[in-house]
Amino acid sequence: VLIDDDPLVGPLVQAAVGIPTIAFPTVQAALQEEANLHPCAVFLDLQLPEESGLHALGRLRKIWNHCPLIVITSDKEESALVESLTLGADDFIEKPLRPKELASRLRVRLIDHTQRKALMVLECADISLDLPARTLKGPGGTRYLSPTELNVLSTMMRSPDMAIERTSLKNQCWNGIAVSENALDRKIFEVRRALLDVSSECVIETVYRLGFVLRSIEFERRVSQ
Amino acid sequence: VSVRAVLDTEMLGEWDLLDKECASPFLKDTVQLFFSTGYETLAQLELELTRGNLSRFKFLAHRLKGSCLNLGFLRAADYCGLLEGLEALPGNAKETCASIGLTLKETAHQIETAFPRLSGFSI
Repeated sequence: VLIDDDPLVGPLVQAAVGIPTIAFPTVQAALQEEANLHPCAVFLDLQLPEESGLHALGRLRKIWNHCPLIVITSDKEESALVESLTLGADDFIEKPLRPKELASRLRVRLIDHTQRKALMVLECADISLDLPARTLKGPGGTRYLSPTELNVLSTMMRSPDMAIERTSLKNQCWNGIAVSENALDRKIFEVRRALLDVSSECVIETVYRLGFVLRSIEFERRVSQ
Repeated sequence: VSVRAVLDTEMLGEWDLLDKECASPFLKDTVQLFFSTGYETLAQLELELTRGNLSRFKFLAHRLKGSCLNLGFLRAADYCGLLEGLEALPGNAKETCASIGLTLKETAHQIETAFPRLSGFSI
């Protein structure tokens, strides 16, 4: 998505980055189509008619928080740069636009966002675990998890289909604090219940005399084949 | 006032190189679009000058400057920068607008000379 009132910028950006670009002359025009847009990146000019890019930046950042937001402007003032970055822009490119620079900066920001997302949202089969929001999502809905439940499930989701020893799980989830076997069992019970609520593909299985494993139906299918 | 070269052939050359590699060339249409919208903006600038609307005048000058910069039309961009930086609308703003018009003609001529495959656009 490109928000720039200069009609020339759209074709130039599209050619430089090699990705289809949908251009809007104002923030309002882009927001009207927001529900239909799933951008991999947003380019935003600062000086726009109706509402300035700087004024709208914080709002756009919240709406499209899953992708890089890059400011492009011919405004050379340092304050514009500082304010843009403070309000959540991932990068700031001064006009004139150079094709190689545009493509390189976008590539770097896309890698950066992908890595950040991988650290913050874990996915396994039909579930996703959003670590900052502490939510477990799946076809059955959303469940909020306690910090320890989050630790237990995230540890298991980082190594799906691999048995994790009870001791190792306790160390990782309670940060080295000694806890009883019963405390671990209690948390596993809660996480199982949450999984049962939201997922139809993931279960925690007990591995006799060892610990636990997060299994997906896909894994079971592969094993049975 | 010192002004830069009319056309930065290196910068337009970068887009030209990309255009040659592109499955669907874009540059000739973009240059054409520039000259269509550029002259329209210039006419709007003169209108706002007559109306005395400084903020709209500066906004249009800024947008035209950005367009010029992206394609390497340095001298036209410099003139637009002068208009954008005005704190009031003096009489010579009209002369600067006229200079932009002349510079755009010179820019078109230089594009046709340096990049013959882009020639054929109307101004």
